[in-house]
Amino acid sequence: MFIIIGTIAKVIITALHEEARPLIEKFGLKKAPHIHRMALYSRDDISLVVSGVGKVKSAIATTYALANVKSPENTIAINFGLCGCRDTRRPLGELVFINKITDAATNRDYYPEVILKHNLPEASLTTFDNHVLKNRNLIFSDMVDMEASGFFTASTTFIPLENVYCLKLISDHLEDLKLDPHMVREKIEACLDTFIVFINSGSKSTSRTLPIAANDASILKQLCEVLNLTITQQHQLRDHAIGYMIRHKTNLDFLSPYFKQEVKDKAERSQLMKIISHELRA
Amino acid sequence: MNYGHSNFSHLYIERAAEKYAMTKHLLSRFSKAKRIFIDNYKDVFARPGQHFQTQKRSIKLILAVKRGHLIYQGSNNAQDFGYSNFHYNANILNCVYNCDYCYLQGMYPSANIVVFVNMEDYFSATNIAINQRTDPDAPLYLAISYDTDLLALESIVPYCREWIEYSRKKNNLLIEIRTKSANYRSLNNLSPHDQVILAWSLAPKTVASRYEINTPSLERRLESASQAIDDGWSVRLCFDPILLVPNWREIYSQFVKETFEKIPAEKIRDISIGTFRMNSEYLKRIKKQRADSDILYFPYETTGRVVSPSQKIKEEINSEISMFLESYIDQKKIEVWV
Repeated sequence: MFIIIGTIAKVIITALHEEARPLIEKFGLKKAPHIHRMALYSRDDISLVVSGVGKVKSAIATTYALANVKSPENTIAINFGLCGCRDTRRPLGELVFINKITDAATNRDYYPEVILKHNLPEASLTTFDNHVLKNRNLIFSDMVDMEASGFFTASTTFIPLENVYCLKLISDHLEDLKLDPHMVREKIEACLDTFIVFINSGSKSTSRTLPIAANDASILKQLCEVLNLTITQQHQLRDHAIGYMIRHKTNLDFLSPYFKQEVKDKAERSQLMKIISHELRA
Repeated sequence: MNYGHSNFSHLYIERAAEKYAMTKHLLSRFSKAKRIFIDNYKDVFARPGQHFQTQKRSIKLILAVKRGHLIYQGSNNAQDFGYSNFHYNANILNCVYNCDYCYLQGMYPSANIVVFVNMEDYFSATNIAINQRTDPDAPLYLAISYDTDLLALESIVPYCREWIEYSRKKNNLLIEIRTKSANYRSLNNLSPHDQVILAWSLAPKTVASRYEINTPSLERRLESASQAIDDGWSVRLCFDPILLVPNWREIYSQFVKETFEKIPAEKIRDISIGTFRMNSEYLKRIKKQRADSDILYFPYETTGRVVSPSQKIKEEINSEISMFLESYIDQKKIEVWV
């Protein structure tokens, strides 16, 4: 639902409206009408979902945003939001690339890919189920939040691992402070340019290519339907077809006449499959 | 434009590996690399959803302690050169090169390189294997550079050097170090001894430039091998895999000629030749990720769990290449994978 073919779709998940608002304004996103259960904003190839606080809500929002993408290879997902930092030497408002996520409840570690070149400082982060305070929780990572592990698990289910990013902005040093919306806006606005540079690089670096061009994929699909091929035969056909296209540096247009072939029974289908395979293996 | 980090921009370090000398060496060698601490190398190396070719754009180093088996029986897809006690090990998983036909793409879930830092444990396992070898009349024949290219990494991880020094003190051990690198210079201050075979994998220029991404040219590999021979090392040449490219006869005939213009044939220990072959499951996995190399999509035949050209084609290639080679070298020195 978010894809414009030919461009890279960017899906941003934030927990709070306060985190989302500066992005909504900057990108000119519009709230999707008729969707009441999820706060979804979009424009062109950018979508943003406000998940609510917590890893379960984050996973649900991420799933909602990514489950039906038409081209997972051409989609990047970013969890953007505030985090606490236990190292008081790190400045408030610093935007950080998360390279390791630990789920505090399960003690499970997740490792986002760090292939994309960026200029952000990196850090590890632990996702807790509750607010974390200095001296009250045992923390081994650099940062803490309440969403990243849910976001990461959900997004890597639907899109390639290297297209999933977690960017966090240090909002506090684990003091028991009430969130100041004015301060949040200020800090996010200050890092917006860096954020935009990052997602632009992320959009250009997606690299998994589809093995077959859309037209050739359509020819193969039609052929499978017309000939009523078994799953094994479909795999064989695809394999031979790719080999043919690479070897001969051409497309599969020559297979189109086979669409008109009538296949009455299994024997005829096997016979035709044999002929096509023979041509493709040439 | 390159949007990727450089290779080894990040080091993943198993906590158990921290105390080892090799870890300290690599941390100092890559002092600017980002460090990410992990409990078990498989948490990173075997994560679901990785894409081998994407990771090749920016390879990371994973430093780990190898547990469990440290030495394995030789594979049926590899040649034993007549040695009955054929074993191999894997000090390092994966390779800096990116050959189209490489089985590692299908064998490993990741292109990142794992360096096992507990070298002493490998030596202990080898000591046991030497003592327990099934044929006491033959040495333990140990291939140490199969699932990687150790010499290509020698400037970073000097394991060839350690194995050469270890084997110098061992009776009944013969090690093979197989490489495509031109990095012999990193060993040339060691005195040669006859319990080490330096084996160069070679391919015609056109094949290497098209299918062996990031590898040194044929010329540089030959220079390296030639230097090793001059210094007194036992050198093996591996014409493997021979690929069924258009005009393969002319290409490989010229390649053999070029090779022996640079390398004195009489000083070669032996030569191995073999056509492309791969575990069928590995090839299936590779094809799921890439559709850009004709070598992977050639109409091969599957025998058992091995994919290779048909027996007829194999015999034709082996016979022709052997014929080219026999004008330079004794037939007995040619080991053919059939």
